[in-house]
Amino acid sequence: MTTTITRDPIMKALRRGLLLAAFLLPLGACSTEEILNVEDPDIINPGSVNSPAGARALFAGAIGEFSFAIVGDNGGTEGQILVSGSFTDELINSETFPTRLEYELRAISLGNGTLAGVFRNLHRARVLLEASVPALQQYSPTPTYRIGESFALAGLAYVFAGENYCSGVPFSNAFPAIAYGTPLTTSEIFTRSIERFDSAMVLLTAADSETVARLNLARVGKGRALLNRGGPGDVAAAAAAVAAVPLTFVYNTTHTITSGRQQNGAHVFTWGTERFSVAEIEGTNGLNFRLAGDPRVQSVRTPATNVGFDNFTPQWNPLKYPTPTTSLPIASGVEAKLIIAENLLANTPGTAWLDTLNSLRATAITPALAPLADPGSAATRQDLVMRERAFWLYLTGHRLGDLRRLMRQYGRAEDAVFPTGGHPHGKGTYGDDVNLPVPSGERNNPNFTGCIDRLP
Amino acid sequence: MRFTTCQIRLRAALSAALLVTLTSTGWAQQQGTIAGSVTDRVTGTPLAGARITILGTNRSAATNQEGRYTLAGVPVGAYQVQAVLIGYGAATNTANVTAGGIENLDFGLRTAVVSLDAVVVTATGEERGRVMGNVVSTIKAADVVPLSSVTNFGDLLSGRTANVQVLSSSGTVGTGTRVRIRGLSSFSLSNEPIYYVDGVRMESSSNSFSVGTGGQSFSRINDINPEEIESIEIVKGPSAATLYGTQAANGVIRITTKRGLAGRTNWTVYSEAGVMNDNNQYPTNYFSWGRAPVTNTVLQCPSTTAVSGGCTIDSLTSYNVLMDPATTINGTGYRGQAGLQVSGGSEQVQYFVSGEYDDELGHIRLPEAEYARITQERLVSELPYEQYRPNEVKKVSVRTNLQAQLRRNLDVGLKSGLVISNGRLPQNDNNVTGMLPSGLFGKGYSGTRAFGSDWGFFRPGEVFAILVEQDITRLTGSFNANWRPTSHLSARATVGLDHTNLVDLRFQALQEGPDFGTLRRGQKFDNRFSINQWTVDVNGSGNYTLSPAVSSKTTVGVQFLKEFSFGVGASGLEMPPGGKTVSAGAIRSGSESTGETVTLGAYVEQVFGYKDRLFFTGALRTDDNSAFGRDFSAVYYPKAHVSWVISDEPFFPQAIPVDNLRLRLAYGASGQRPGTTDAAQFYTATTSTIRNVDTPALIVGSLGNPNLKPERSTELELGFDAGFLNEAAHLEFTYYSKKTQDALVLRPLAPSLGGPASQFENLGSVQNRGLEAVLNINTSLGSSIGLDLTLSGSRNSNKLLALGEGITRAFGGDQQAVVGYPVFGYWARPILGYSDVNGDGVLTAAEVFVGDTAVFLGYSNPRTEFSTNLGVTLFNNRVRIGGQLDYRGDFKQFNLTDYFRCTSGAANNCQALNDPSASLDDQARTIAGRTATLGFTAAGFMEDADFLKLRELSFTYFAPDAVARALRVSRASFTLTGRNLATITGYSGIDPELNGIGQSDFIRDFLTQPPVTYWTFRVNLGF
Repeated sequence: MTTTITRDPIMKALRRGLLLAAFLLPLGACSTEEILNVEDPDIINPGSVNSPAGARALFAGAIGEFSFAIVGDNGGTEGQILVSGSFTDELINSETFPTRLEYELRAISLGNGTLAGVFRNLHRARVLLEASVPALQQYSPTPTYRIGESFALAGLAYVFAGENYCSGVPFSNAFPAIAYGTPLTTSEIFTRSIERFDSAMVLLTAADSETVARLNLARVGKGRALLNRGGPGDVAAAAAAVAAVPLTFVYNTTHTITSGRQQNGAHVFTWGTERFSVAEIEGTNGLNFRLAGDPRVQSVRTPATNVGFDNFTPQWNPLKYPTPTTSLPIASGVEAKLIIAENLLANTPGTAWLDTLNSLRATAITPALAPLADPGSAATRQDLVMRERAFWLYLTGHRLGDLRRLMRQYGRAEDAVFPTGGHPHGKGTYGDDVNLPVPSGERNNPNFTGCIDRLP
Repeated sequence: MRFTTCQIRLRAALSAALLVTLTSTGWAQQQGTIAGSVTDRVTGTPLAGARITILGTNRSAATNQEGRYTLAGVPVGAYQVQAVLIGYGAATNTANVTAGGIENLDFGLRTAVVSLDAVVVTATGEERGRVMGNVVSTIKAADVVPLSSVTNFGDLLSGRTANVQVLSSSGTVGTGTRVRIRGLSSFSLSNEPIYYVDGVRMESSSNSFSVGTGGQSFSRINDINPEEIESIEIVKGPSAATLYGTQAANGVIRITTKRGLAGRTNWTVYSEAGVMNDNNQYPTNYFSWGRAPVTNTVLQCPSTTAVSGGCTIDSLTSYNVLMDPATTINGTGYRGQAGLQVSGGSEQVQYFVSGEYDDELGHIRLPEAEYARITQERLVSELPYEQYRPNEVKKVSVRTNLQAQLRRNLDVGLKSGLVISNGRLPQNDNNVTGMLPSGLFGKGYSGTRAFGSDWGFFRPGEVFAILVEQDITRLTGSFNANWRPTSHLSARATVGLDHTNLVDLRFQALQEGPDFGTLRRGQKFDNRFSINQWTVDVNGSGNYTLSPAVSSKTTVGVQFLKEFSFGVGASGLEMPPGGKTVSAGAIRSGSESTGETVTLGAYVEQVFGYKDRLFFTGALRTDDNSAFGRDFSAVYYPKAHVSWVISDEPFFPQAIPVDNLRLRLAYGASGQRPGTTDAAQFYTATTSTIRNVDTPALIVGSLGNPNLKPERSTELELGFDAGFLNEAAHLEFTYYSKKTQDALVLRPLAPSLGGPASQFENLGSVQNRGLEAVLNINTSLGSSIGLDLTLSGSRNSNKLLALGEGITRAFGGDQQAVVGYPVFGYWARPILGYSDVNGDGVLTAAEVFVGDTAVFLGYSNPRTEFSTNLGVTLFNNRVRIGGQLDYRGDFKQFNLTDYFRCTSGAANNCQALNDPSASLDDQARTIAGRTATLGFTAAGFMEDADFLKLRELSFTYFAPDAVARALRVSRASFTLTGRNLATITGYSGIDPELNGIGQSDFIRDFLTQPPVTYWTFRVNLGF
């Protein structure tokens, strides 16, 4: 094939080529980074917290994460309180999800996805609370009670870990850099929490009401931690820690309905999505929360034939949390008095312990409750203290810690404490777990190989 | 829409380049013309749409409706000129072009089922099939649609070629399908292929719905109107998709819409009407009535409890609320469609314009008794229509395609498609307010008694009161230009935008609908999205004949892709009476989301040909992407192909009974980018309640991974194409081995870190290997009988080769990704056996034996598939009977519906649980699933799901000319088509293909609407 090409067209093409190049020249000023640069307004860059407003937003985030971890949200994720309640005798499962049935039946697989989220949320709260301390100290150091509150709530996060999980929980950190924690024994966890409460109390020295409220939070938290650690002198130290807390004190998580995450999960999972129902003598050993007629634990079944999400379990909802915005008490003067009563029973002969309980029944609720009689024996007195704790502190996340203490500190057997035998609604047979395992996902922590033990 | 300065500059520069292109003229040379006609060699019929190409140059033309073509301005010289047309073998003639002369060159083409020289659209432009080293799969949509009345794009794709699995997740009108080509490559990113329409990247999300239905959602793929499609080319894997760059690792589906041909105006009118019915068999619900041992309290007494003395069975009742004519929600659905297409034009300008209205009304409807109950309850005489018929999709689509030859060496095209649709879906799947969940979890008796209702959760009158709806307006437009400054140099540019405006709504009025949670307080969700895909693709090619035997083609190009989406959502809860808007809600909230990704790629490709029978292709593409980590630079994807038409070699033995034989070998790489923000470290804004006050707050979003890079898939493919029986038959056989490295593993983070649950890391490696074959036959079986047959089959082996150091499992649960096993395979503690020791016919937990640890039970996607598309024409093409048989095998389906029915207190209504006479197999799997000590294993419900389906059966009558004339048209045909007609399977669930999680690769048959049977009648008229 032959072609003949004249010179003019070549020049013409050359000119056009140059013109094309001139048009493409502006691109030379662009690097690929500039062309590829995109901005996503959905995310907040890390540098945004390096300011007073940023530190306060981080603190606010930490408070929200704590509330979410402990109380849960509007139906998708439960918190420590609901898990503790279902695992023990406070709540009975009224839904269908197998992963929730596992902790109801105390037969938990390490791969339980629901509990993996619950465990992670507790750490998200702890890590952000601890990360908010240096941020506040650097960018927004006053008022100091914010920093004290972060310390105290971080301490409570450790308390929940110690009360509800097996021995051997690691505590890692993502900030300022990833640092994997090593497993702590249950006792070490409570010691760690006490350190946080002490740090809070060092800062909370002012006399204004805001500061005093956080101080009382730290005092009750420390008392709770000491009670759980239960070492020599710890119970007495617990009573000493809470001695100055007034009966009227209460520290609440508060809730709004602006977003699902801000709602009171203890309400939504019962009244709303009907996944848990108030229990009645669950598995032989459970307390009669529903039929005791006790004003501290009232429940309602509306309509009278109402059944839960599973379509057959009678659905009784706790009047303690009637709305998604009802506040939930995390620490209170009532709890302080219960700690004092337990110490008196353990360390002070006589009826001072009973007087303390009866004083509570007379003054902490209206109308007053009838005074209790001394049941007579050491074991029944312990049972009475624990029953009073169970009713005063119903659905606040204390019950699993108390049942474990009954075994660990009072020598009770598992099948005398936890729900046992066949499930009252035919959902299986109760297993032998007395605490929650650390989920299998924690094995991505190179320092973790499993719980140290699953003992109470 | 936001663009950075440089992105604007880039688009402007490329547009300017295009303008220069458009204003350019060609080389002034001594020239002549080649002209002639193309006809069927046997019948002499003129052939329209044939492509005439001067080999070794960039010059080509198409025949008009009279079969004539003209190639003007051809430089003086001698040329080899080739004519090709789908359905015919290529013909090559020699032309001697003289200055000012007209060389007359006619072609008579012989029918061939597949031609090696068929023109294929590739990333660099059009190319002859014989040049390519990879298998080329083409679906001639324009031929398929009129004969089988496909209802959506998935139907068009399904079963037409090997190893392109179109998996229907549901039979609900408007819901999507998932497409998987050559297995699953990723267990963290999408396994869907990417789509191009006329060169423009298309939004193709297969789960495109932001309000809840329980599992199913709309698919953007089904926005495409099959009637507008000329052909579909499927690029199956990285070996062929290299030049498509990052995101093409799962294959590329290129859609070419119809275009006009020069000649008289051609009108096509079609109309279709049909009915849909649910012929599936839903399982019956059982209830075992009994008494407690001591108290004699009446209770449900499952045989598993009775056998241990826990209760005494008095009687067994059963009921099927979904099948009872008085209560069933299954009515008759309707499908209607009407369309008009006009095409034609002159030699300089051609056009194709079409418009269609399509309405498909799902088969479910409110039963009469429920209608009466709800109207009485609300004190109204009638209900809103959408509460009576909650499933419907209505769609209008309009397309305008223009192409013009502005100059002898310059042609441009302008293509636009507009889709406006409205669809509403029912509640189903994993959803307590779903309709099938209530039907399948209902009690084994009619009505409501102390133990619950025949409708497990809610009655249809409540469920249908939830309205979920999607409105879309979608415009896909492209402008393309081809400039040939010389007969050897060409430039091509495509600029286009696919814009989707989408509105998702969910509404439940006060005191209407299911009383679950706070739903009956009323709610309205209104989410609006703008989704945009920008494509700018420019390349230039040079064709040279280096010697009489050696040809060369060099192509260089750049591609800019920008995906930008923006959404605003609003919700209003707690409605007043009559409240219907977000602003009527007492509790209102809003949200905003943005997604943006930019890809900038450049490529070069070199093809050498030897005597037009041996071709070597080498190419390299480089990409950078905004989603890559900041410490990762650009990625490079190479490819190398060899194609050898060995039958053209002089030494090829005549004894081998083939008409042509091509050997091919292809190696290539491609990628899959991570998500937009997967590499970034960031906080997330939220709101916290602090002492009852909403307070702005920040929480940890992602810890970030600065080293994040794309998944990289490499593939080796080899095979052959053979034509035989005078090209009446064509066999294509391919072996492929695909390996994905740097697979993005959503690596779980230790929860104690206090960060997100997981983060992407490039850790994994996944392998897919397999064989695929396609046999096409198109021949006469007698004087008046014709046969067209496509048999396709494939088998794929998938294996997770590696994860990061020390990681053996990427995720657990019912489906897992474990090193050494297929990704997304089913795992559970196996049932080892059972023994009815006491021979009472009822098993106990002690008589069922379960393994201690979970084991791999099977693939979740079919490993093996065979499809048969058969057409028989009778009475000299007057009647055609066609059908499609589809076999999928070697996989399992998780029958979660029955697992729940047998094990969950919400149902407890399967036969195995209630009826002591149930088979021991069923009892064993039920007991294993209910028993804590047996691990609640679902192994017995992960069933073999092999199936053979008669997907399609059609009868077409082509009216004789006399009849057509009587109808005042030039051609007429009438087609009766049935779809989803029969299924043969051993699977015990309702249908083995369902997925209660939509298009996810996590697959379970869970309370999902199965496919329904369609019968449609279609009329095609042309004039």
